[in-house]
Amino acid sequence: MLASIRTYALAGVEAREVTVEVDIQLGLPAFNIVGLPDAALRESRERVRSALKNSGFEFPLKRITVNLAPADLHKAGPSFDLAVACAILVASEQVNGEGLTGYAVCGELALDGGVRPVNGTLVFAAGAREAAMENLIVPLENVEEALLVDGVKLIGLKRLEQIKSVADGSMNTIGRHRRRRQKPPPTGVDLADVRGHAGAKRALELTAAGGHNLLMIGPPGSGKTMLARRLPGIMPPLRHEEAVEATRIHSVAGALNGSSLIERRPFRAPHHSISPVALVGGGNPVRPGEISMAHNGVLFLDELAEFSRMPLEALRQPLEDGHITVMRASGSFTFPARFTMVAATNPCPCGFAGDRKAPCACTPAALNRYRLRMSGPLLDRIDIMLRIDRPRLEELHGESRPEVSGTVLERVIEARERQVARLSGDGIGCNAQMGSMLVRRHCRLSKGAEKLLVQAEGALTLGGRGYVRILRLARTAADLRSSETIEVEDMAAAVTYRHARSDEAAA
Amino acid sequence: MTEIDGEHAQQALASRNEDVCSECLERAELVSALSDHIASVARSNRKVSELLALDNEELVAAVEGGDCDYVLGDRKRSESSSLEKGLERQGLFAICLHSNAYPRGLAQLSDMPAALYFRGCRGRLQMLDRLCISIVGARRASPYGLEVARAIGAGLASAGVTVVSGMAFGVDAAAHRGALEAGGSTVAVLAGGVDRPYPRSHLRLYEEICEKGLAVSELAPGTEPRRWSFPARNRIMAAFSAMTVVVEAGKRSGSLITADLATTLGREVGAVPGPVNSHLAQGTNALIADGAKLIRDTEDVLDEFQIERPPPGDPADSEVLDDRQRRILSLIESGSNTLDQLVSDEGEGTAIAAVAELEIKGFIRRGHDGRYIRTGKGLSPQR
Repeated sequence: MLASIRTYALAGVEAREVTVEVDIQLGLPAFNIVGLPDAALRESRERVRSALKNSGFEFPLKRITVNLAPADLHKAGPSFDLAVACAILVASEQVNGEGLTGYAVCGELALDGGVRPVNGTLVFAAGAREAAMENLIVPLENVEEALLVDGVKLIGLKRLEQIKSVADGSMNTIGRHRRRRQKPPPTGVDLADVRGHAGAKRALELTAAGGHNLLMIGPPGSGKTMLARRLPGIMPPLRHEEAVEATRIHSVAGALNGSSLIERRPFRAPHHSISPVALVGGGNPVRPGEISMAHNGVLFLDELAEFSRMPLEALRQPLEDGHITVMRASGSFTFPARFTMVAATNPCPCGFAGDRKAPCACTPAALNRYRLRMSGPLLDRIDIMLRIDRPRLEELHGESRPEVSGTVLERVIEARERQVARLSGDGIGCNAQMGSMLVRRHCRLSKGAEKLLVQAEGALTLGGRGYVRILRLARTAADLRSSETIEVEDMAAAVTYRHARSDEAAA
Repeated sequence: MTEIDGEHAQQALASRNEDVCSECLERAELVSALSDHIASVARSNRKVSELLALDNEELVAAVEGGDCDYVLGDRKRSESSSLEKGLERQGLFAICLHSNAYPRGLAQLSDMPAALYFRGCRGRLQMLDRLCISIVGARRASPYGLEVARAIGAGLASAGVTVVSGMAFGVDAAAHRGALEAGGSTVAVLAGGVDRPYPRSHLRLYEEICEKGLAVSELAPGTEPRRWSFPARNRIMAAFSAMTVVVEAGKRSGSLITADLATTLGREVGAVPGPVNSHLAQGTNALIADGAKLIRDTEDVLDEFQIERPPPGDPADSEVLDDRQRRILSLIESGSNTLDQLVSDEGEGTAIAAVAELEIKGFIRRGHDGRYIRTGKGLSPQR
């Protein structure tokens, strides 16, 4: 007897349709799965056999062949268990096959017949909707996640035996999930906690508003990490499409633990010992890396100089293109990876270069190596550079009433909305993504601003990149003042905050 | 040192229209070939100096190099003209102590190099005829030291003076870069063969120096720098120049030895003062206390030789700063030199605007550690 059930496989952050075909014939009992299954899939057999038996079904003692079509697509992971079991049940006429037409099935089986949650159900649901397959059977624990996709009727199974009820029509699908857009919970840290660092706070504001990459240089203990951790609290919330995308990526990574769309911009801070694969994605099965988890959010690289060369090199393509393509024998997978990069580093290996009290203990060769490591295409993408030092006593006690994150956030949101409105036709979402053409189109300068820019071009080694960088920053500074025209004070801020590489490092 | 009939040799050279004779080249090759031996024998700078003052046979014996002819091998048999052609093929040229072009200052050394190998345009040898000033100092220089070295290098080059240094990390490189920025009148004296730039990370700087100035060495091409060849190189720097300026030096810096050498040779020594609590100023301040000339800027150097200052070409030099800019500038000078500090002192709007303007006008620069550095601009009062 022949039966087939639809299911889905994960390819990057997309779903690919897979058909599970089961053929049961007379002959010596055998149970084979073909169609390029990976190791986890091959182990499926044991799980399916036990689950079927422990659910009160019969395991046919015949020649069972399972084919996962298309045969040339590599399939990975245990999410096919449920589909295989269902197909066997239909093929062995233990369950009414007609009742299951129009359903796609995903889930992992436990040996006792329970249904376990899998990664990527959100993506499967989206795939089902696109394939006009209206009904999806998923593990009960994944229902919340899958409900985030409109237009798909879901059934959540807790146990394999429930499939009988589904097939004979006695189980209802779950309707639309009523969700409200909640305000993201407070981060627990506030900008007002930080005393001093007035200049740095402004830099954070620019980064949050315009998405500019930021580099902080300073000795250990100066406050770089503390400042970076306040960034999520002043970043604008995700727009709907961005939220959906972020949720998809987290779903694929198995990192979704809420019942609602991800609302707050991701903030990922990988340790500097991270491997290239964990940072940019890959592995087997192919999983999104930290940069994709940071998509539309912030990737914080603390102790930039401690990262080994390979993971940093791997960042070049995504910084350039906004996505990463992972090639495997089974195909190539593309993950979105457009993030704001914030980096913190010491000025030298011992940390004290430039500190008047503690002399730098580094040998010139070590210093040079360190600086050379710091230059390069990665730093080329940094818009803002700032020196951070421990605040002096007068700065710690001087500030009358530092602004709270909420106040800054309001300004940032308004500035971001201006950008979105201005750039919507160009397919990008913030000033930092503007290239030279867009910069020319969108940056209207006052006379004073233009004069300063011309002077800057003449006096400072800007280069083409530096020129675009300054205009982008100035555009954000003006947006934060709710001004459509870029005035001289915005241009001054751009010149002051820009990332300038001193020539000592270059040669 | 083998007594070659100096005048005779000079005439012979001139008549052949050559700058280097085979004997001198042979001598240079010998020293280079014995480099490893010298390294194992020489325990002090004085010893190196003594060794280099020995003639060929004595030198070989002193370092236990075996037989003089054996060491030289095939090289002894070549004609000087073919040796020169070999150098030409490598883009190099050489002059020996019999040549008219040989720097007079070097002749004072008891262990003067027999030959000098150069890389660069031959016509630029006339740089050595002009006033030469050596700039030396700490390798781990502070941004202040680097800025002063750069500024003096640039100022001297603009005034038509040749800036001599060793292309090392820190002060040397900054001085070369300053001179290159101002037109290129600079000579790098290398501790290895002239085709062996050291440190290797300064390759681009080296190429620029060869393009716009000259690189020189007493060792044959292909010789790797050794420990002994650095102080040997320093003696050449001291001897080349009329004055050695030390920009930054700790208590035990090698540049102090170069300064001593200069004094022994009867040359001027200048030093740039530094903050009394900075370890990088211990050496230089001590030099000044001992009688070295206090050098604040290019003018102080030029005054020593009564050279005309170049006309103040850049009208921006006499630019007037407004109150706001002046306040921020003096804050930076007094050590409040990060943006956070300036914003705290003067408020965000003022600080940001003034910093941008000062950077554009050239009064401050960004250091590699992110701090602001006061440049030398506008500091010399009208004299």
